[in-house]
Amino acid sequence: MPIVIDHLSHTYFDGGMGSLSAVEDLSLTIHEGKFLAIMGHTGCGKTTLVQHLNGLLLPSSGRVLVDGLDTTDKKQRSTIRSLVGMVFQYPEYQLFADTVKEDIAFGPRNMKLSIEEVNLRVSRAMAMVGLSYDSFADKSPFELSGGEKRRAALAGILAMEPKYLVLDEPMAGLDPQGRRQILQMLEELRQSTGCAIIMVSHSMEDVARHADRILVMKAGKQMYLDTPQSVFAHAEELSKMNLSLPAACRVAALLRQKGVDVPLDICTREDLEAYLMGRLKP
Amino acid sequence: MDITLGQFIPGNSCIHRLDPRTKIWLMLAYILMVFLVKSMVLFVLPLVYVLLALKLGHIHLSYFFKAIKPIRVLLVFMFLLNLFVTPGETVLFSWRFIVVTREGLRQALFISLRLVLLMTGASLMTLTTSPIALTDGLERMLSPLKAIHFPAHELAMMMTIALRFIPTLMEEADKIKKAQLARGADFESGNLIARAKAMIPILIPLFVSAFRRADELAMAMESRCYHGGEGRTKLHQLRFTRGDLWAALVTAAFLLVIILVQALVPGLV
Ligand SMILES: Nc1ncnc2c1ncn2[C@@H]1O[C@H](COP(=O)(O)OP(=O)(O)OP(=O)(O)O)[C@@H](O)[C@H]1O
Ligand SMILES: [Mg+2]
Repeated sequence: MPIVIDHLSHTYFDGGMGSLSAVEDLSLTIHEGKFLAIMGHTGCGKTTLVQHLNGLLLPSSGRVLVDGLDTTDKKQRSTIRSLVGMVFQYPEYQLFADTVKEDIAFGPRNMKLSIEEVNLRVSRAMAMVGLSYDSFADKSPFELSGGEKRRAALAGILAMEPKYLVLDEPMAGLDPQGRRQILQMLEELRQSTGCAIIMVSHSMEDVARHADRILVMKAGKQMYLDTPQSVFAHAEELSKMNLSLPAACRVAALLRQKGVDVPLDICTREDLEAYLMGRLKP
Repeated sequence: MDITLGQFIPGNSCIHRLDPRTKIWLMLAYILMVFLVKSMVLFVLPLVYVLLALKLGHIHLSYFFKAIKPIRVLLVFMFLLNLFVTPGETVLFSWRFIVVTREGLRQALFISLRLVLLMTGASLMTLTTSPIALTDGLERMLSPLKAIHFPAHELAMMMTIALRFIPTLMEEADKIKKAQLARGADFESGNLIARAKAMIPILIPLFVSAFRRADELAMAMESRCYHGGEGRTKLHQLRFTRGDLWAALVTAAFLLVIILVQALVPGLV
């Protein structure tokens, strides 16, 4: 069963006087095992939207159903939170336990799993994010480097083995290699467990390569919801919204200006390469 | 969370424009005024004073009641305590062991009025003075004490920084709370001890981040050559103006009237 977002609106009130509608009448279905990317200009409501997926925020109007469970239903909330894992921006700031092991076990423990199961999941999650159990399990999370902290925090969510994994700009502040590692890890996770991924990201290249669908938001509303190929075909509108295109799209556009009719649905380097190579062959 | 109490409301009224030092002195004078008043009738004077200041500061009357809200429990408690324990002769009302005397009622009303007036006066100052101006004024007022090595500048700087970071830390706490909720943390069920324990996953990251911020701020200040108050000049010099003089005169007049009336007219209720 999918996550169904049905005419969701969310309004923030500040001190009684002003109000700000951060998400407006948004409907969306998030399918199992798929990769959905969410993009948009800063302040357009991405974080607000994803915090509805596990009931951290509740709709001002509309509904969010996770596998048929309404997020406003208090009794279902812990079930929903174990179904939908959420990685916040800079997740390393949530580490708190004495050891990395303990910190990763926090989620699974809250799910009331048996000790054996918790331990199993902790070691599995650590392996997945590439932290070796022997050298990191008993370290204090505060002794790790920035990148290692981020991975430990990620492992804390993965150990809950969610069916939907929501990530809010998980690669902010990482170097290109760190970003690649995280993306690769997400791809592996999706293949091995069939976990759906919902990722807020500003990185066009990564989104173009990995996402099945892209949701582009503008001022709390849905602008586009489509495959990367179709979304990036709206080059002009996107650049008006201050969203840059992937490099391959920009190269394709330049080639088009020079009279090479590159198809509009090319948005990764590999596709462009393949197309150009195809043309070169007689 | 409601932290609007005593929060600065930006404005450009004549009260807003007063020198922060004047406002601190005037508030002290006002407190003196409230404590000098020994009769019910004379409470009119500090009341008029405060209402006048509200009016001149373009502050809505509802803030008067907002200021009392956080002390309402204390207010009721003080009222009842004074009502029942003040010794007196003229019994107004008695039922079993509960005795209300005329003196008790007077004392209870008296104390409550005093509390209300003190509270509104104090919040009037914070409503019309930005925290920065307030600490600036405080620093200048305390600077003569530097001669005896009192750290006036450091104290003011600490206050400014603390005030600046309260909203930031609240936001941070909210973020961390959400992150732990997403990991299935439960802050609502269980007994008191269980709940206190459940706060650990919020408090530790919050402290870590507060220390990190403090560290970063110290670094940023030092790299901009901050070296304490020694020889430091101000962007905005504090200056007394004609308005400050007028405010001081009006306040002095109020004080004088209270003192004189109490001295010359004995037996006011
Ligand atoms: N707790 C809050 N109270 C009031 N307004 C808020 C709150 N959180 C967010 N907002 C406002 O709601 C709007 C959407 O914020 P949101 O955090 O969802 O944006 P975003 O798309 O995640 O931005 P970014 O890319 O910068 O993370 C913004 O205008 C923001 O100012
Ligand atoms: Mg955001």
